[in-house]
Amino acid sequence: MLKKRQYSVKIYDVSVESVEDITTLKEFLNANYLIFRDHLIVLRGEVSQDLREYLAVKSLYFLENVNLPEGRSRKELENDIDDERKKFNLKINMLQNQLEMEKKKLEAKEVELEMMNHKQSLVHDKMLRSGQELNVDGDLIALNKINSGASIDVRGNFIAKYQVHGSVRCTGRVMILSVAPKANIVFHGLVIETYRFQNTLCLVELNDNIVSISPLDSKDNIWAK
Amino acid sequence: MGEVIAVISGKGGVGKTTAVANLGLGIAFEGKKCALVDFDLGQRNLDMILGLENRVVYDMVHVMDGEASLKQALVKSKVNENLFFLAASQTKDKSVLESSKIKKLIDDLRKEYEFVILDAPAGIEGGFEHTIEFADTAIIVVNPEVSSIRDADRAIGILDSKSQKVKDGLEVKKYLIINRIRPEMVQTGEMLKSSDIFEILNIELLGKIPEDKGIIDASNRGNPIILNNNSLAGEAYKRISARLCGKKVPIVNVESLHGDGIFKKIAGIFK
Ligand SMILES: Nc1ncnc2c1ncn2[C@@H]1O[C@H](COP(=O)(O)OP(=O)(O)OP(=O)(O)O)[C@@H](O)[C@H]1O
Ligand SMILES: [Mg+2]
Repeated sequence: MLKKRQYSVKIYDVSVESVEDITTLKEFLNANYLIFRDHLIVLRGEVSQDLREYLAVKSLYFLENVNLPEGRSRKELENDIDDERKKFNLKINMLQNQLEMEKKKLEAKEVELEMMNHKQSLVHDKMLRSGQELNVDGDLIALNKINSGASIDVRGNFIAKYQVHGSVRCTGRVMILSVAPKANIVFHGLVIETYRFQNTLCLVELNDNIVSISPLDSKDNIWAK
Repeated sequence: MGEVIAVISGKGGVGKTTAVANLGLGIAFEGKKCALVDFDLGQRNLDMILGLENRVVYDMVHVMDGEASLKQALVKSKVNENLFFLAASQTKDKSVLESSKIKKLIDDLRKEYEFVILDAPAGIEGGFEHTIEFADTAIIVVNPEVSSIRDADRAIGILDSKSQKVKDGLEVKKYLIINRIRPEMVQTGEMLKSSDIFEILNIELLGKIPEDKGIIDASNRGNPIILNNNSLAGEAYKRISARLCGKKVPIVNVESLHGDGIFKKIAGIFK
């Protein structure tokens, strides 16, 4: 396994061009020895043997004429990180907005589609015989008979003129029909026993997941009044 | 151009073939040329009921394949020279029927005969569809029982979607025959009432035929019951034949007749 460690070292980067510079540097290091004891001193220019020996005696760490990465101050680093974060947040915001817009577009499309489907309503005036099927995406008004063995699938509301003998599947808001005892009626996936129609024209509605069936000749009914 | 009538039922064994034989004779007695065609491939019953089984040499498939002419294949009735019969092929292979060949056969018959009556097989499959394909009129035979009515309803639905006339935007005429009515059972409510039946099927009533024990014997001997002047069923077939020929004959309420001969006997006294 590779052994590794990351840490920061303070660097004292200094250029020496002349003998005076070397003297000045020595004096400076002497005066501030405690501070520079654990700095890394990077020397540039004409480094003399004399200076090297001085540094060795003082046990100061130094390098000569090396290229170190551009160091930056903490403030600068913090600013940089801040900038990156801001850019990143901006991008996320943009993407989120885009997503929101796409979602809205999709919802609008769905509503449009729903409405289109509901537009395919039908007034059917032919007899529906055994084995015949009728599928309607919208509302259906059946003006003729629906015989035993015939089946109807309505996604909208359903109104039947004659007593229904066949099977009806309806997922609309309401149905208005009367049924024969052997008819097969399913409203929003719920099988409705035919005795509940009491052999008369009924209004069938779904309220809070409960199917309500009310005869249309009952006194408090608003239908056809 | 003659009228092509398909006799259908949906459910089997309700009396199609018996009706075809009797109505064929009835129409012939009305003085009209009539051809009966057995479309019940592999079964071949009509020739027996007509008493013509030993006269059949060529069948429908021979004609369609050009192995025999229509004239050669058509068998003349022993009883009436207006009536002719074309036998079904005995082969079980129903794929021998091809729409184009059937159309040609029926068109040829139509030119020669005022009535062309097709006896459909039981069920609503291939053979049935071929029978109704080129018909102008359909006679739906039912028995007064729920299963027969429901199957007939189904057959009518198919007729209304698959026949060539409907595809051409025209209508196929539909008539109802209620067969095997047993008056005592209707009166006790054990048997469906005629009014209930055409309420469900919603097609014009052509006639009602009572249950008649004599029919089985008549069929076995190849002498259709219509030839028997003492049969209520025979009378019913006569009335229906007359109606098909355009005569206005009122519907007789066979439910109130007594088939055991009492009514007949009393009627006979006053003759
Ligand atoms: N009115 C009647 N009274 C009594 N028996 C009858 C009557 N009509 C038909 N039958 C009898 O019912 C049986 C079936 O009749 P038929 O063969 O005519 O029916 P089908 O509809 O042609 O049958 P399939 O569908 O098998 O061709 C026969 O035995 C026949 O004699
Ligand atoms: Mg038959």
